[in-house]
Order: sequence, then C-alpha cells, then structure tokens
Amino acid sequence: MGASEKPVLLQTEGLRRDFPMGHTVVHALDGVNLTVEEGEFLGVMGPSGSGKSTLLHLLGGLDRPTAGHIWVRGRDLTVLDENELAAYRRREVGFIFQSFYLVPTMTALQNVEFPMLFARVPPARRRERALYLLERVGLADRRHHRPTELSGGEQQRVAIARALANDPILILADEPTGNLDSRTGAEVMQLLAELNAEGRTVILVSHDLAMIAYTRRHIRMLDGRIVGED
Amino acid sequence: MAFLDLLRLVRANLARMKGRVAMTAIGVVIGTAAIVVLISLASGLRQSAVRDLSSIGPLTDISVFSRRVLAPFGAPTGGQEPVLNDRTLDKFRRLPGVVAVTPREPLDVPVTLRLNRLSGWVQVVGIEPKEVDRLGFPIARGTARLGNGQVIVGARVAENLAGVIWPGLMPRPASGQNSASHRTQPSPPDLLGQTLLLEILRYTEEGEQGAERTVRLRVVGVLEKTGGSDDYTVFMALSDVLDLKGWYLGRPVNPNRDGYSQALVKVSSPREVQRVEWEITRQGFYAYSAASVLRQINSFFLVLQGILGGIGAIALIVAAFGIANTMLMSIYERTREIGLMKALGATNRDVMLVFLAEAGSIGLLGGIGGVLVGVVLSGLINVGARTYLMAQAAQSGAVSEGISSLAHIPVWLPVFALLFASGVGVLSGLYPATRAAALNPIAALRYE
Ligand SMILES: Nc1ncnc2c1ncn2[C@@H]1O[C@H](COP(=O)(O)OP(=O)(O)OP(=O)(O)O)[C@@H](O)[C@H]1O
Ligand SMILES: [Mg+2]
Repeated sequence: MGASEKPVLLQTEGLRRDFPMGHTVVHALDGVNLTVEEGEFLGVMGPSGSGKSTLLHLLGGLDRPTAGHIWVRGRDLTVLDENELAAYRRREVGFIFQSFYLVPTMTALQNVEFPMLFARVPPARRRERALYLLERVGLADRRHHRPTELSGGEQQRVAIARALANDPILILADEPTGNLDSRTGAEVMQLLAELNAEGRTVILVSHDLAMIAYTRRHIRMLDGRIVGED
Repeated sequence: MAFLDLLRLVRANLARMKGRVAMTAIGVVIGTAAIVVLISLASGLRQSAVRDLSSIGPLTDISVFSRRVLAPFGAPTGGQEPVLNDRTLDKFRRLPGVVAVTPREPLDVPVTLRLNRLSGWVQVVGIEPKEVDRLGFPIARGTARLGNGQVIVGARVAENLAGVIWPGLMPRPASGQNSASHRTQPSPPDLLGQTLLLEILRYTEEGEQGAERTVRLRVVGVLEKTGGSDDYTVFMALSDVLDLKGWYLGRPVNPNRDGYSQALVKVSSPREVQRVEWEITRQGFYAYSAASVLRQINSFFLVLQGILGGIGAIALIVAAFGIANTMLMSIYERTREIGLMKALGATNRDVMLVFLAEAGSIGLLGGIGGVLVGVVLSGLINVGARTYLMAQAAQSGAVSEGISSLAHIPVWLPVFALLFASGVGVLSGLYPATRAAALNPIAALRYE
C-alpha cells in the first residue's frame, strides 16, 4: 500500500446512499471505501442493482451521499454547494453514458461544443477544440451530422469527444458499450484506453468481462458494497 | 453562460418548436395590439382635447376672481370675503415667480365703438398701464405703452367694426371656413394710429335714454390673433375705465373698498403656475389658469390611458398563461436534456436563464408582432375616421381641413409595449424555469 508512487486522485470513506422506497429503505451504497490513484483505469463490475451507477454518480458530483465522504484531490465533495458541485462537474469530470444522451437537434460539432458553453469558452476557441476532439475520435468528416444520422458507435464517440471538451482529469463511463455490438464496443474501449494512456483517470462500469479486460484494476460490487478486487 | 451563446441556444430551441411558439405568441400579439390601439386612442383624444384648448390663453397666465364676484355662479362664500384690491394685488406681486399683476376691470356698461361711419360692439377692459410691457401682450404692431386716452386693440376688433361678425360667446380661431365666407366682405380697416370714438349711454330710472358721453381713444397698438376673447377686446388704462364707470353709475368707484372683479397674474414659467395658484387660492380667491386646466385634462387622459391600457393588459395576462403552459410542456419534453446540461456542468442559474430567455423571447416576438398589428390598426382607424369626417364635411359643404387624428401613437408606446410583452413573457417563464432548474439531474437523465 505504502509503496504507491502515484498521488491519490480520489478517495471515499464510509460512502452510503439510501433511497427511501415507501416503508423500506434501499441501501444502494452501503459503506464504500475506495481509493483511486491519478492515471488509473479502474473497472467496476457487479450484478444489476449492486450500486455501480450510484457510485459513479456520487464520484461525479451528480448526486450526494447519505453519509460518508468523497475527497477529490483532497477536497471534500460533500461540503460543496450546488454551484461548486456544478463547477466540479464542469471542470474535472467527463461523463459517458450508455445511451449517449446527445442533443438530437444539434450536430456532432454542436454537441461537442455544448459543455464549453457553460464553461464560457469563447466561440472561436470552442469551435477549434470541438473540431480537434472530433478528429481525435475519428469523426471530423461527420461534424455536421445530427445524432440520428450517426451509428451507435459514432454517437458514443461523439459523446466521448464531448466528455473531453473541458479537458477533465476524471472520465466516468457507465456501460459505454452497453448499446453497441462487440466490435464497435471494442473501438470505444480502445479510445478510453488511449485517454487513460494520456494520463486521464478512467472509471468504467460494465458487466461485460471483455470490456473489463481493458482496465488495469477492477473491483466487484454486490448489494452496495465492494466485495472483491483484482 | 455568455449572453450571445444564450441567445443562440434560445433561438435554436425556439426554432425546434416553431408551431407551438407561433401559437403561443399569437396570444401575446393580440394582447399587445390591444394595448397599443387602446392607448393610442386615448392619446389621440388627449391630443385633440389639448389642441382645442390652445385658445384659452397663455400658459403663464392666472386669472384671479374674488369669490364675491363668483357668488351668483355658485361659488361658496363665507362671511368675510377678501377683496381683490391694490393691496392684495401688491401681495400677489411679491409672490416668488410672479412677473406682473394687473386688474382686469371690464367696463360693463353699454358701449358702442365708432370709426368714421363704422360702428360696432366691443368689450372694454381696463388694465394697469405700468404693468403692460411685463404682461407679455402679444403686440403685432405698434407699442405696448399705454397712456390715458390711448388703447391697445385686439386683432379682430376691426372686423367687428366692419360689422362682419355678430360676436359669438367665444369664437373659434380663424380656419378655412371663416376666411371662405369673408371673402365677399370688404376688408376691415387698419386701426393703428386711428382715433376711435367710444359712446356710452346712460339710462334713467324709468328706462329712458338719458345722458350720453363720447370719449376719443387713440390706438397705439394692435395685438396678435390669440383665438380667445381678447381678440375682440379694447384695452384701456385702468383709471380711464374707473372714471367712465363712475360717470355711468353716478358715483365714484372705490376699488380699494369694493375690489376689482378680476385680475391677471403673470408668472415667469408654466412650472410656477401651480404654486402661485395654490397660494392665491389659499388667500381666499378663486384662480383659474390654462395651465391647470391643461394639467387636469392631462391627468384625466392619463387615467383613461391607464384604464384602456389595463383592458389591453388583461388580454396579455391571458397570453401569459399560454406561455407558462408552453414552457411547462417543453420542459417535460426536454427533461433529459436538462439532466444532461447539469451533468455537463451547467449551474441551476444557467438552466433557469435558458428557460426564462425562451419565455421572454416568446413575449418579445409576440410583442413585436403586436406593435406592428397595433400600429397598422391605429392607422386604419385614422384613415377610416378621416374618410368618414371628410364625407360628412363634403355633404355639409364645408372645407375639411385640419381634421385631427383619432388615434395617436406616442414614441414611448411601442417601446413600452415591447418591454411589457417581454416582461410578461419572462414572468410567465418564472415558474417553469424554476421547476427546470430544481430538477434532480439523475432523475432527469433517466426520465423517458
Ligand atoms: N432514484 C432511486 N430511487 C430509488 N431506488 C434507486 C434509485 N436509484 C437507484 N436505486 C436503487 O439502488 C440500487 C442500486 O442501483 P444502481 O443503479 O446503482 O445499480 P447498478 O449497479 O448500476 O445496476 P445496473 O447494472 O442495472 O445499472 C438498485 O436497487 C436501485 O433500484
Ligand atoms: Mg447502472
């Protein structure tokens, strides 16, 4: 443990998330202690309902824990107010979702530019970076296409470019290949591995072992707890 | 989010629900057009009312009457009525803002004015010669210096002498009608420098004609046309009038005991009128001025504008619910997008701004349409009114010049209407936008 050379990016302690459901309470996360170093490529596995997405949402500042703490680069997310949490999501996190969540009325280019609107990046710089990122994911020639004019794999690559828009340190991908066939899924994983090789920390949720194989470390969850690590 | 980016995003968002935006905006168009048309009507009415008022005298003049003089007309009188005499007038003179004060003492006895063979009716008023230059009499020709045995005559006294018009109560200023019907008559004589004869008849107790007195009056000045009754008035030195009055009554007049029946107070600017008038009233006199009549007319029409504008605003409030409804619907449809915006780092304020701006834009678009429709409708009303009046005038054979517009759009009205419509839009977006901003991002992203 103590021999780790890399600095810690994020750390959770006694992380709990309860969802009250009628008379009972669902413990989606039931005491998660996790440390992720900078530059890690971490896989999170586990059966459906084990709390993987919930964990990712908490790490990305989209949700708040019922109890426990999350430190990112030494800063406790649980004490941030709404605006500070929004700023955290904007500057340090890039989300990638299973259903892509592209804005259907925007072109690929506009979708990649979208997060930079909230970061107040000036238009010229915004366009330049969006073009660069589309090129990066191999879709420069599709920049004027709308999501419905793109294949699933292409849509997910646009979503990845969008996640990179504000140059985040942490990439959170929740079943990014869930809606893709295995060949396209492998392309997406290849892309994530490249991002990780560049120094970004990537946390991937998946129950597809073939995808988990791209990660360098993975944890297994069950009933809101981490039950194993390889 | 930067303002321009916000605008661009809002434009794109509105463009993708064009039909619904158009339907919603039509409500705003109707409301805004109603406001513009109704207020323009009130404003047009006010304008013509004020234009008709231009004949009642300069805006810096205050006419003062003692309440005693007005008692027969129903003015309330107490026991001790203040008298409008030289002491009182001196007090008026010392009020700040007052430029000149003079009695306006009518020679209310039967008189006839003669010039050679011409004769006619005239109204004679005595004023204080020392105050004449400061009274700002609109002298057209001659001088404003008045001595005993001298007069300054109104612009149309000569017409009366020519026997052209039987004096009406308050004749309208010259318009096409008058000049047309006068063309056949000989032109009135020029009175400047002439010597006029003023004849006064005194009747006996039995109603028989008694003594007659004739005074010679040299015309030293002719006034400009004012459109008011001064046009038919001959102004004399106050002492001359008091003298003639005394002769007629058979006993000397004592204005310091009985008071003058009327006085004229001139102030330096229309802004002073209200204060001076208030002070005069406080001293127990009755004051009347064109400026305060104008003020009353203006405030009446302001209220009318408010009422009519308010009726229009009701239509706009109905439209506001339409906007709120449209925005709520669009928020349901775009729930996932709101969740996405938040996941990408948009603040609650960003989300709120987007929806407020969309609602405000619907209001603005409707407002622009409403102003255009309102301006066109007001124009049509004017064309219609003018055509109708012209047809009427043609039937009666009169010349239809100088017909004023029914509706008038002041410059502030379109600006106000646009701001109001946009404001209504923003207000009706407040509730939907707050709901959008308060959405939980994960729940919003999962929403189907
Ligand atoms: N908003 C919510 N309200 C109530 N219960 C919830 C809510 N979100 C998650 N849960 C519950 O918490 C548990 C964990 O859910 P979570 O989505 O994290 O599982 P998951 O591991 O991502 O599953 P999957 O592999 O199916 O995506 C589940 O039992 C789920 O029903
Ligand atoms: Mg999940």
